[in-house]
Amino acid sequence: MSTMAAQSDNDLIARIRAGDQLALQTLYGRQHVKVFRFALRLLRSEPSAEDVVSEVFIDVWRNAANFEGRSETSTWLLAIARNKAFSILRRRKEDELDEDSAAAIEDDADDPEVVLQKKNKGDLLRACLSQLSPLHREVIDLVYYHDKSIEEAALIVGAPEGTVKTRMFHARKRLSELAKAAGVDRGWP
Amino acid sequence: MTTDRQEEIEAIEAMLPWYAAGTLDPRDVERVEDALARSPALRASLRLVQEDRDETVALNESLGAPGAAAWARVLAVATAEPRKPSLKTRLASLADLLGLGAEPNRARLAWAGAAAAIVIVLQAATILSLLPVAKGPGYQTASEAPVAAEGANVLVAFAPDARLDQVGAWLQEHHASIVDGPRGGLYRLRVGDKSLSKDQMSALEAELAASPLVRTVLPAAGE
Repeated sequence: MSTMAAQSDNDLIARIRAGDQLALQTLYGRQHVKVFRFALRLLRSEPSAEDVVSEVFIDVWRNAANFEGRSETSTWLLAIARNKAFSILRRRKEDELDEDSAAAIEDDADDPEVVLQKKNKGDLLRACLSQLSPLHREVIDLVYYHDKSIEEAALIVGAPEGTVKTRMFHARKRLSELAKAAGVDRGWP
Repeated sequence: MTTDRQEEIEAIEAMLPWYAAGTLDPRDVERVEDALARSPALRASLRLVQEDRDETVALNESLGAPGAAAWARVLAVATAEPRKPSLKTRLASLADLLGLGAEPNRARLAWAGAAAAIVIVLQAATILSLLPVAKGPGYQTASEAPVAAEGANVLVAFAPDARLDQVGAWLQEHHASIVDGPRGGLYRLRVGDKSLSKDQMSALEAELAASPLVRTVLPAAGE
């Protein structure tokens, strides 16, 4: 392991705060893929997700002094990415819907019934995961892929911890409903 | 009693995703494990959670990574909006490059400082080697250094990150040569081969100061 890799992300933020471009590059190397995937799952557009990645790390460069180190650096990055992604979603829908309504709408791509006809249960579940609303997708991703605790997920989505737990429960429930509609009854809820 | 038990099961059910991910508060882990030991329904629910988690990870891992343009945009902004790192930060970076360890302790910074000093001495020696060969015997201090009869003289401090090859090219471009220094970080430069008026000197100083390789330009004594 290199000495740079041994440094914590919070150490890197301290150095970025002092204007160290090498530290910025190191932090980017560590975190950009996860930030990109988080944004891509919300936006379903690679160019938009790449824009979010750039904007997140530009914000880090400009505003590192605002990071107080009370949470993990990755939590801070995902919170910035989340705000930017939802701004894009809001702009896409602003003529017709408010943010919550837009975020609650499920995607019509990757129809699980079509997938079921061709592939296995794993493919079906992944299709159902893609069909969830952005609010459900993000909480599922934060908990299962980004390994965020209840407290961290609440910080990122800007909601109370109880809301996060409830939202996660409803996301799981919706996932099972979508699977059932596609012909796979998981026996829950 | 039944209602209490139902509420407890629902509370446990809500925590299963974090239990499966290993991110549940340790205080709650024991609570969840006690409930799992008693409830076949919760164990079945946990298996679904684990299945969902596996597929979520697989889905995300299939998504690839952003292109190089994303970093290029970040770098462009960071370069256009630089902040001067503190000495401690620069020494820490140097220590990283030299593999002196990750923790910013005193010994590590001292080693980095020593390495930086060696680099500075080597750079100064190399720049001094570019000085014109002194004509005639004797030794002169900078304060005593006679100003060349022709050409404009200025004092210049180069940017800390200016490379020697860049400085050499810059001197050539401005028909300049180093005639003394560094003293206090300043080199005495002779520019061109003609004496300049006060206005011409001001214009020259402004032109030299505009280079990113230059940190400071000051009029030389006697100009």
